[in-house]
Amino acid sequence: MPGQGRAGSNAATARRESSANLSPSVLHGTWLPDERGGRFLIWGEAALGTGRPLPHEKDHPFHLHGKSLDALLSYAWPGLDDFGPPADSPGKAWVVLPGNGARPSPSLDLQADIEGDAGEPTCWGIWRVDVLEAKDPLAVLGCLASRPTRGADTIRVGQDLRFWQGLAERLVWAVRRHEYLPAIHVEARGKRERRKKTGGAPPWRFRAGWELAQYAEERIVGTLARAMPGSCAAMWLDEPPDAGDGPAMRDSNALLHHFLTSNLQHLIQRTRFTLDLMRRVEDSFVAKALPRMAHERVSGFGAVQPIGESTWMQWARWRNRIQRSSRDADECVCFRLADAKGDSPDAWHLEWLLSSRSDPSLLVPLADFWHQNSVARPSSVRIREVLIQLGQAARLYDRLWEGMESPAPSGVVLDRDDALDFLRQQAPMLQGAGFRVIVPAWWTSAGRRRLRVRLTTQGSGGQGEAGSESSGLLGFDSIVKLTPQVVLDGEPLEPLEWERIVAAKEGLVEIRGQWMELQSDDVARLEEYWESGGEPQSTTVADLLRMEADADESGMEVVYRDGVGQLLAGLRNRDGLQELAQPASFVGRLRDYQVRGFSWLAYLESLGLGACLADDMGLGKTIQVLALVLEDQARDPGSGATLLIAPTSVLGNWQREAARFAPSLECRIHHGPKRVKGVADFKTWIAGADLVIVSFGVARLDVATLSAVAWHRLVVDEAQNAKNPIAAVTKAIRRFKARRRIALTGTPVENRLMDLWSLFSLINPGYLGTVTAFRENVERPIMREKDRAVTRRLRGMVQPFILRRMKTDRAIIKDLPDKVEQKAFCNLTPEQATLYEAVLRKVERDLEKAEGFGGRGLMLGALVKLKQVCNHPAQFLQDGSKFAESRSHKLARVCEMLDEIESENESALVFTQFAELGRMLELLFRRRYGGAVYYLHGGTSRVRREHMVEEFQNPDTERAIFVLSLRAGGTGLTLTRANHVIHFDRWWNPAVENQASDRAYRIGQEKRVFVHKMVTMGTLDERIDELIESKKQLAEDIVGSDESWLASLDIDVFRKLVALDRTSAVVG
Amino acid sequence: MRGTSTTWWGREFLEALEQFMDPGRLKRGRSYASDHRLVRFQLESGEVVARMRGNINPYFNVYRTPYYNVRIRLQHVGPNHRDGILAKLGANAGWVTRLVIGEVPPSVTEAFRGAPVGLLPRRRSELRSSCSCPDWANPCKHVAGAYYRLAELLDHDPLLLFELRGIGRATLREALAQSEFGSALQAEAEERRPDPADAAKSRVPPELGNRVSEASPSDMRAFWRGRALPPVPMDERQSPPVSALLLRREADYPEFWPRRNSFLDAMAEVYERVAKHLPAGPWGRN
Repeated sequence: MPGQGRAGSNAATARRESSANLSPSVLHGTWLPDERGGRFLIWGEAALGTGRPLPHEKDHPFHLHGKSLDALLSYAWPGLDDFGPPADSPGKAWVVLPGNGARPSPSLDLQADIEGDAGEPTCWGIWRVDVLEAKDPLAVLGCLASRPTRGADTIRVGQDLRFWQGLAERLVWAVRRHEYLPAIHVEARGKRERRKKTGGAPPWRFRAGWELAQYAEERIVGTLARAMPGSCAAMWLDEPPDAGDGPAMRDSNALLHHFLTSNLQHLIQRTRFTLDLMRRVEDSFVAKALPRMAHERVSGFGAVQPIGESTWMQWARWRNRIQRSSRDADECVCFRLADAKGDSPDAWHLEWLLSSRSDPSLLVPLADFWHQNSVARPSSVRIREVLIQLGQAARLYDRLWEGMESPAPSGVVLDRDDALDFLRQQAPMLQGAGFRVIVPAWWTSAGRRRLRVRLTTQGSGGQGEAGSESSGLLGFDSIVKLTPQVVLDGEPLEPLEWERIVAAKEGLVEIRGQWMELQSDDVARLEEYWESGGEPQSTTVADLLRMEADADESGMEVVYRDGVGQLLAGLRNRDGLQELAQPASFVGRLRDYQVRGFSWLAYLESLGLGACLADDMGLGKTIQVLALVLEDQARDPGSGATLLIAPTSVLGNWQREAARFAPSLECRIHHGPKRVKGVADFKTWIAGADLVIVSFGVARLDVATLSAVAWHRLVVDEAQNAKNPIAAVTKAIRRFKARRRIALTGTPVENRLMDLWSLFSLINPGYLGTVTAFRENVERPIMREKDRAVTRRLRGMVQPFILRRMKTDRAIIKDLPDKVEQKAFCNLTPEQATLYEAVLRKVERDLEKAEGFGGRGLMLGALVKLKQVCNHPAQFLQDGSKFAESRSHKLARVCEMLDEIESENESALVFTQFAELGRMLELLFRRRYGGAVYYLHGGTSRVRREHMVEEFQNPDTERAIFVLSLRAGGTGLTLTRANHVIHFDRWWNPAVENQASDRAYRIGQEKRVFVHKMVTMGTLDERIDELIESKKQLAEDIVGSDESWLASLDIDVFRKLVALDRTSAVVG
Repeated sequence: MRGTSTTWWGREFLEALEQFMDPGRLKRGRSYASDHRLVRFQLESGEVVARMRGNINPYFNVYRTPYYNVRIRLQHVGPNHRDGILAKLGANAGWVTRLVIGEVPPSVTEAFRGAPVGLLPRRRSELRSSCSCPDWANPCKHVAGAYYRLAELLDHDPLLLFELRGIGRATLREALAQSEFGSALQAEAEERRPDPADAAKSRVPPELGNRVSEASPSDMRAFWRGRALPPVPMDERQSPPVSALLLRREADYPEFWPRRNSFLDAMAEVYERVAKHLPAGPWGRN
């Protein structure tokens, strides 16, 4: 992407500049058809408006001024230069927009950045906006699809532009698939023009150009016309005509057709052709449809060149035959190659059959078609269809003509070489042209027979032979012995069979009564193994795994036998995994899949290999790791401490979960400015610890100290944080010494290649090679060339080390209830802690002054304030300061969770009791996740509320985040599109919370619902949580559904409730 | 270039001529196949009748532009054999199909088995020609020119070959139409004549059909968002196995193609270059 290289170095400056100079803006654009062939115009809205006086009353009040728009585009996409003021207009266009008569309503994308409710639009209005023209529309649309290099947090690309991008993408694919043809367009001459020309000029004029294949255009328009936002059809160059009952809009089908036809010409016009090629089309009308070399670019519907009516007529007939939809006929010809029989190996019958598009299982040999019944032959309509289809197929593969030369054509006989040519070349071509081809089962990818080298592991059992010296564990460098054997269909090859293969070398050969294809490289490679006569070979575990990943490609198979082999067999085949018992010291019960998960971790550790547990969020990665540590502790006490690295926002969660499920573990958090410094002191401090928890930040800062310790195990939680291979934190973690290495992540890792490399550099250093080699040999072939073989090989290599289970897995569904409630613990930032204490001090003083008088009110007020502090300093201070994730661990954690939910393409509800916080969350989420964010609060009108719910629930809309105030949205609504519920702050009454959670968990919900309750440790938040837990046993009528009862508490009880437990609360 | 042909039957016709006649002499006639020389060229009862502009040549006492009459006749198959040949043609699905789409099936000679002559000339004696020019040698430049013109016309009109053999166009059409395959294909051959007026009408004018928005102005989602776009399915993301596959539904050298090099080859390169020069975007680079 243009300019991306600069992004890193300039990011800081850019952010500063953007926040200083740019008000939030949304870019719009649409296709504007005109006589020249059409143009693509871009305009923009800005939250703060143009900032200039408007010269015209009809000027859109907050559109981006032409110069600002130009500056903004070059600032955000420095690589984009193919736009400018429209060639022959004053740089302005008219748009039809919904509004209230006096003002247009801001677009949905912009509304996020405008304070206050925009109000319901009531009528259409017309407004004038400044526009820029994209000279090369598809290149500009392509570029705007990439993230802005700068200003990403204030500049948004509107859905209308996104729609055109989607259309452009489909056009590009159709062109890549060669689904278009040279065309001669006809235009009627205007009356004036005809009158001017004397001598009866023909009433039309012909222009050379291009048109899309009908089926391609139908496919594209069919999928997209319904999806088009109305704003795409609302632009006019001059004041929009009145359509009778309001300003006119354009017809969406016609608009799509116009865009496709016009931009197809653009795509060909922007191509450079060689002089040689131009000569090869000279004098034909096709030459006029290609760009005129060294002349000005011809845009629109081809150049005006005299093409005669007779040429048009010839072209039109040709075109009609090509475009005629023989694809629509239900009866279609199908080709089936049958094996040659053993005694006549050169008689391969390519049989022709008649099939039905609506019922592909119906297959009638063409031989029977001609003689269906003795009285009447098939109707001439059917005969014609068959002859035309056969004729079209024969044009592509001319051996078919042979078979047609008969009164009842039914097929053609091929010899062995022709049969191979048919299978390799002709069959894919016929299929590409829309014919159905049935090849023998042994040719299909599923049934393909192949000579393979079988490598059987050898070893006398035990680990003596293969174990590495120090740990007694296996490892990547352990040596494994392998016996090679040449096999076919799983059976070793006989010497006689081998002789036949060597004699044939290449092509089709019949072995064991069945045909197969021999490839010459295969045979040459196998010779080596055949001649070695089964001599055992030695290889390392790492090489064996690499070889196996490539097995399909290179024609290998690995059979695990005997001691070492059996140990390794479980890497590929998890069914045979030996399940461990839940550790005795684990408090609570592990679910079945969690037992399997921790057993798998233990198994890989026993082999000396690193592992990545990538279960979905909510499946309990934390407790699986805790179980593993406990298991270890029981089996091998004193083996050493586990170093756990996690984001700051979840440190508290680890601590709480460890205390709850594994209280026997000695657990330390190494954090904060007062943490132990120096290697010696640190070693003393961790003596006796089982689990040492640090944040990514501390891992980076204290790299010297932490790498001086020989850890028993290293666990990296949320390992996607270390995805940048060259970031300081990744490098630091790589320096840590540990016998066992585990990574945890909730986002899919396999698709992001460099992330994957980075992950493996943490758990199995060296296995995927150096970063440069990986970029060269893996990333580039996959990203650039979409090399499927490399993709398969990579998957084969990493798959044994990643365990990823999803909420939707059948095995998991069995284990989980329909609603899973979890608490997410987090800490306070130092800023929050300071504010929290300040509130406490103030309320103490006030209480003393009040001496019980008005104490109720004071206490209530304090509770609200403390909750606000726990949520975010900006909410408490209400000073317009930045609502940044770095200021509240709770907010940071919620964002991390929403990232994961987004990566799963799922929807979430976020409940809060504070309207102002809801608004802040809405704005933040919009910025992070694009437009699909709703916010419902007490002030939302009934109409709008119904509208939002309807949109959210509509399966045609994109996944979304719904922020709700607990009071306004906690009851009555059905929001089953969401399967995650996040309670940002806690309510005193579990019934109210449950009722809110039930917006998602109710009839109509098809997925499992995850309820995440955010708890700030050591604060009022956690005490409310404890209270709720204990209250579950109390009758509900003791407490009402509001907070008033709290204020009647004894002052001392109140003090205890709100006190700050600094040791567990604060993490910087 | 004159003297080359784009079809196998055109090529074989020329090769036969070169074999029967002095190639040097024949080639001198190439330039006489031009429109400038050929004043008239037509078939009269299975015979080529042409009128050619000659050269002024004082040596032969020719002082004014002379015009010469050329006649070429291939031996006809004769009415006895004709019906047999037509019956064989009509019963063969492949032959009928190819003849209807304007190609000569290479194996069609088999239909002429038993007849004194095949479709293409095999012996010198099957060809008779005459010219009114003073040149005694045969072929003279004028006859050679007429031969070349004939070969050229054959490329686009294979039925001409049958006509030269005494099987008239109308006779052949009628005979094929009476056969089962022929009648089935008849409709295809006589498709409706395309009309430029229809084509001009179907073109979308730039001032695309104006209409009042059907959506209410309060439906902000319909106006600003529309519906989520489905991703492009994987099977719509594959390049064709052969370049310009769509065009290969029709034969090479279509009627509108005035050139002697292959239309499909040239187009295949056009398509590949276009696909290589597409702009970068979310659809990937090239």
